[in-house]
Amino acid sequence: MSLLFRTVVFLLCCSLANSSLAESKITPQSINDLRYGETLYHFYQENYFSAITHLTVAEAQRPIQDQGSEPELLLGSLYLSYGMHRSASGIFTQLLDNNAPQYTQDKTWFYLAKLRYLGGHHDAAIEALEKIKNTLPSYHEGSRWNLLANILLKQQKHQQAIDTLQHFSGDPIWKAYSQFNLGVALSQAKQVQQGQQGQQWLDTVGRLPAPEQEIRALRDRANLALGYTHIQSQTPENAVQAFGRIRQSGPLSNKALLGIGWAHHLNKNYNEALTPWMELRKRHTINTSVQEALLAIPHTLELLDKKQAALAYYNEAVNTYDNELTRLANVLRAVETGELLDALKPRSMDDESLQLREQSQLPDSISTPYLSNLLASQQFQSTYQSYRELLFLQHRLRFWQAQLPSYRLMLTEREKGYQKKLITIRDDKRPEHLNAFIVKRDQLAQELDEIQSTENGFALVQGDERGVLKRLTRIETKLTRLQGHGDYSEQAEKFRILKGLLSWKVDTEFVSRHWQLKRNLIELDRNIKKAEVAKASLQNSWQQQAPSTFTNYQTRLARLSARLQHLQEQINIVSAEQTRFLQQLAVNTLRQRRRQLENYHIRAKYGLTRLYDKLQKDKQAGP
Amino acid sequence: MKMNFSFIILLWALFSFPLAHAADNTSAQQGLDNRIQDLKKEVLELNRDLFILEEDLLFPANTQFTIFLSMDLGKLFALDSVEVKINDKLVASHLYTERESKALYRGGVQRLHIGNLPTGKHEMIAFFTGKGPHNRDYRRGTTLVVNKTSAPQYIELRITDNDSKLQPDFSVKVWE
Repeated sequence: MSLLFRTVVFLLCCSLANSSLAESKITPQSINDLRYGETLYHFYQENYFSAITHLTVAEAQRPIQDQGSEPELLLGSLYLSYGMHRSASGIFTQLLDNNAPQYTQDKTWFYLAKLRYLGGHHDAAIEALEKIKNTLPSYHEGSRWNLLANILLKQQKHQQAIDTLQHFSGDPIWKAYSQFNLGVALSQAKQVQQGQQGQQWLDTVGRLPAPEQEIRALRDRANLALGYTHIQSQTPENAVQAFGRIRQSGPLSNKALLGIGWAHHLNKNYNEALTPWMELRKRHTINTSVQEALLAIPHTLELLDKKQAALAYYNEAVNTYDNELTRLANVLRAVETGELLDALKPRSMDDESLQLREQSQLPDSISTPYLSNLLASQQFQSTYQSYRELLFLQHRLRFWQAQLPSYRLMLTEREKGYQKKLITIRDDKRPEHLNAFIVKRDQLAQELDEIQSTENGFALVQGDERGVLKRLTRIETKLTRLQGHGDYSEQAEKFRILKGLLSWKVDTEFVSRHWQLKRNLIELDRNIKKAEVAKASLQNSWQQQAPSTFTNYQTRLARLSARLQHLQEQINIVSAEQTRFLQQLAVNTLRQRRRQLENYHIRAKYGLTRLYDKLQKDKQAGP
Repeated sequence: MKMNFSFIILLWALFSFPLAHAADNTSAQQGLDNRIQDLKKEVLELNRDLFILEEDLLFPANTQFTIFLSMDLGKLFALDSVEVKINDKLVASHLYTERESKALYRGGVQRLHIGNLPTGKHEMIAFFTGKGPHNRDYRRGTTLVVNKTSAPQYIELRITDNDSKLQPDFSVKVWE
């Protein structure tokens, strides 16, 4: 049962949005921006919500520049995969308006064609497909031809669909799907010739070598469809052959056995017809084919004039239908009270990719065996997917709702900490020292100007020279004092030479020393400027910027919180509607099954009564 | 024969739809679908804005430090898990599912860690475990001394195939 479910879901889904089959063949892209790579990481896991979030966050913070138009194309394709067709359409249209490179244009037209097809705009979809030139990646080719064939079938342009398939050179699995669709479409046509063509296509798919599970499942479906077209066209031998190719262990084996029986019945081989039906009779009576067989057996036994046996089998059918109707009533009651919906709820909402995996599994509900066709239908699948997406959105919003108080607390604590530090900073006198430095600097600059104007080299002595100059000054004073008290001419000469030496040195180095001091002064000016900027920045950030940052954050939080609350209310409303719709789908299906079963029941009872009367009459009229 | 005919109609109906066809929704359901699309858009926008707010609040630009992981080809190494330590403190560890590994092989880049680091030098060590060539258990480490500035810093841990040595290579790239 689970195989049937998965297989049919696969068949239904594969020609719509992204096929994992095709996407798995994508070769790695070169990553020039980590944020683009991060989006791909989520995209490849089919975590579309996360992928869109990361890409739009990147675009809002600092647009991705180094990946060409790939980010836009990716965003459009993400919206398409996430069922946001209008958003996807907007992006694709914008990409085409922006004269994107041919490669991007081809991909964009391809996605637009899909979108238009999903929206039922078939002519526009074909128009988009016709715009595609020759740069579409090979992994999209199969999907492209399949899409074109499907559109042509929708438009009843069977011959064009056939021509398309003749030129189909893409993936063999896509080709098989297209052939199957074509076969079914042509078989439905009223014209005999088209019906025969349809049978040929179905026959082609029904005989495909099938190493892959998907193809085996498709082959079974093709043979089943082919078998019934042969019954319809009154060629029962061919029908038996087609049904016979269906795997006995496969999910369609019950239908195949039923079909074989009807093919023999049509050929008036009543005994042969009974063989597969008797096999079916041993199987679980929940299955509609088994239920059908239970009625077909006594009907055929009557034709074989085995009235007593027919009576017994009618009896068996009536009892079985009684039991099944009781079971079905219980199931219907359970579904109406929400049992199925409980089973459909995901086990965990934290893992986004788990959703997808769980969705491919059958729900653990007592109604599941009765709803296999519904569960595999596209309408149910898309409704269920939306339902789960809504649950996930609710989950995300609840997550943020739980986070917001901690952000508010964090902001409050930061603000408190800021207020405390603000007092310390206000009391800190160090920034005021800067003014004293500036006064000192101005004095130095004035001194330097005076030295320059007087060319006083001794004012620029430095290091050891200061000591030497002091000693020379002392010596000069002493020599002056000793004048007239002896002969100090030798010492005076030595003094003159030493002072001359020092004087010569400071005079010759005056320009370079003055320049060095000037440079130091410029450097000092620069540092003072920096200190002034730092002081202003400190004052700005602590007295003006920080308070406004806190206010900004509080405003952002308040706005986001209001949006959050509004969206939660909206989602709750829509989610309730979607839940009702999903439940109604299941209830309608079960009611339909009940009507079918009631119909069998009435027929069986009628057959039983009629036969019983007949037997009674025969008995009365006896020998 | 009447029963036979009704039976065929019933079963044929089960197979008479092309497998790939557009959703045949009722107008009510179409309206609901449109509202769901609008809601998705609004929730995505809100999620984006909250995400940015969270990042601004928790990981300010001057201390923000992010580690990514990528894989090039990955034929010679099947990644099972990774651990990252900064200054001998474990900051990130991850066990890979098959889906995640496949996403990496196909070119996806995983954000392994986002946190805060003060400016200055820090030692980062990453340990990779998995299956190496010939399906043998493999554990390798790579070290980097990170010089954190006041700008946000992005580090990429890369697993590449070294075809000449037939061994996987583990390297680190600092993005400016």
